[in-house]
Formats: sequence, C-alpha cells, structure tokens
Amino acid sequence: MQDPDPRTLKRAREGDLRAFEELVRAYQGDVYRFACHFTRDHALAEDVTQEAFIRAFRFLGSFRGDSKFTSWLFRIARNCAMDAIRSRKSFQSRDYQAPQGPSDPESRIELDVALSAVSDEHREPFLLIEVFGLSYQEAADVLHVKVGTVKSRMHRARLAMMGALAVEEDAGEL
Amino acid sequence: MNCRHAQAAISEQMDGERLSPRETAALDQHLAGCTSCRSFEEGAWHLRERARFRLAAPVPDLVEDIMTAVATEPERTRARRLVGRPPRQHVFPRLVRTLAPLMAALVVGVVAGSLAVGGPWQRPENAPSVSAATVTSGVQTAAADLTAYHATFQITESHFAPDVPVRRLSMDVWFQPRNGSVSTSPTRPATQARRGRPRTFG
Repeated sequence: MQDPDPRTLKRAREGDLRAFEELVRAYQGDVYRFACHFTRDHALAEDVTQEAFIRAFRFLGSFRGDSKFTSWLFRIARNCAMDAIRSRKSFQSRDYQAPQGPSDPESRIELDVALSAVSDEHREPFLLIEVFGLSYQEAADVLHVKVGTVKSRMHRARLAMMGALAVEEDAGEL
Repeated sequence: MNCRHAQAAISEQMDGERLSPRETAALDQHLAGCTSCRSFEEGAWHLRERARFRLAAPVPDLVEDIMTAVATEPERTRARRLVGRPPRQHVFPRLVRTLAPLMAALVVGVVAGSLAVGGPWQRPENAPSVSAATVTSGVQTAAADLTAYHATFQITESHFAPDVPVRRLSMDVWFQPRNGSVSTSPTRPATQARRGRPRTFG
C-alpha cells in the first residue's frame, strides 16, 4: 500500500481541507475493508471508517512520520474498531440481535468462514499482510508488536486458514 | 532444514522477505524431497489468490460524510488556519457522479481484486505502481470536474499465481455525458507468463 504524496500530506497537516479530502478518497476503501473484516458488520464498519478519519484529522498535526502514514492510519482504524466492538458488546448484552449470516451474501464466502476460524491474534496480521499488502514491519507498527511476532503469527494464521479452507472444501463435497 | 523451518521460510518469502542464498538453497533442497512442504506452498499460493479476489467487495462513498464531520471539528484541533476550498464548477454533476462509480467498478472488476491489495511483493522497489483502489479514488475525484473522460490503463501484475508470475493488461475507459453513454473497450490481455515458482521478489 502506497503512502500519499508528501506534499499532499504536508498540506493536510497544515489544515488544508482539500488535501485531507484527497487522503480520505485515497484510503477510505482500505480503511472500510479493514473495518469490515475486523467488525464483521458493514454498518459498524462505516461508523469506524468515519471515526477513524475524524481522529486522523484531529491528530494529523502530531504525526511525525516515524512510521508510514498508512500504518499510522490503520493503527487509528484498529483502535476505532476495537472501541466500536467493545461498545457493541455492551449493547448486545442487553437486546441487540446481530445480523444473521444467511442474510449477508458475503458471509457465505468460504474465506469468511475460514477467517472466523482463526483467532483475532492471527486474523489481524493475515488481513494486514495478505489482504492489504503491508510488510512485516508495517504490520508490526500497526499492531504494536515485534516483527518476529508478526512473522510467526502470520505463518500460524496461514496454516490455520489453509486448514479451515480444507475443512470447508471437504464439507462442500459431502 | 526441517519441515517447520521450511514452511516458515516459504511464508516469509511469499511476504516479500529475502532469504539468504544459503537458506534458499536449503529450502530448494528440502522441497525437492518433501511432498508435505510442496503441498503447503501450493496451498499458501491458493489461499493468496482467494484472499485477493475476496477484496473486490463494494465500498460505500463516505467522503462527504467524513468531510462534513471534519469541517465541524473545533478550530483548536486544526494545526493552522484552514485553507479555503474554492467552489467547484460542476458541468454535469448528477450524471458524472453516477458514472464515476460505474467506471471505477469496471476498472476494479477487470483487475479482479488482486490489484486492490497492492503490496510490497508486487513491485520492484523503485517502479511506479498504484493499487486499483488508488485508480478508483482518482477517477472519482477527477469525475466531479470533467465533462468527458478517456483513459488507458496499463496494468502490470506480479506474483498473481505461481504459474502466472507476471501478466499485463491494457484497458480503455471512456464516457461522453452528452449522450449518456459509458463505454469500455475489451480488455487486451498481454499476459507474459513465466513458468516456475517465483524465487525473487522486489
């Protein structure tokens, strides 16, 4: 995933709304997809995407470029998604009915099933690296863990996903 | 090299990590005699293909909502005085806004998801490259101020699959709002495939 043009980023940091809009246009898709995978809820993913960019706007002035802009943005999106999930869980504990799988066509895709079979700890590096194309270092920046940890988690995620997909395929043949 | 180390090395190599010549030789030697690890490698590539295709899901346009929310942020959160945004000259706003997502969807559809992810394993370090998501947002941004559109996309994709490590496609996309038509030329594939397992990245 490419970082934005440094000139655009600089203008956005200086408060240029048009430059910030360019960033939103460039990355809203990636942030939304990541939020979708993370929350497994399209409506919630829209809220997370919006909140992530609002937070990014608030704190853009403090972004020093120690990591890539995309890693920084994903880290914000991840925090927003975790907050949203926590809120949803407290809401669900009362009367919230989560959308059921069959009403969502995407939930029937085997990959989703396989993704749900792996733990959050392994799903996150899989999404960031395999699906969104981050490097080990970038994923480590997003997840706040060491590169070696990302490597091993990614490998275990790959093994788990392959195992889950094999089970799915076997089940489909019955 | 045992199976555990071999499969970890395969994973790292797929993710763009460089193995030393000694590790590469040891991995090749191990793979030559290990059905299980060859199966792992094949499965890992298969998984990558599926994960990339899976990405072609539609994305809602949240720009307006986000920018409206951002514009109401307190002044103190802004680093400096905001730069005013000049009004846009929309010639065919409704039609163009309708066509832009369709064109973007056409482009994204043709590149079939895998380009949507981009990735460090897909391009040489210094080569210019954009993801399909970037193309989509670029078209959408430009469409608001255009009266007509014609573009040729040259797409080079690397490491799509073990048996198709490089493929190139060309696509013309255009529209003319006057008659409301949207046209695309047939994609002209110019696949350049090298058989064999890719061993070098970047």
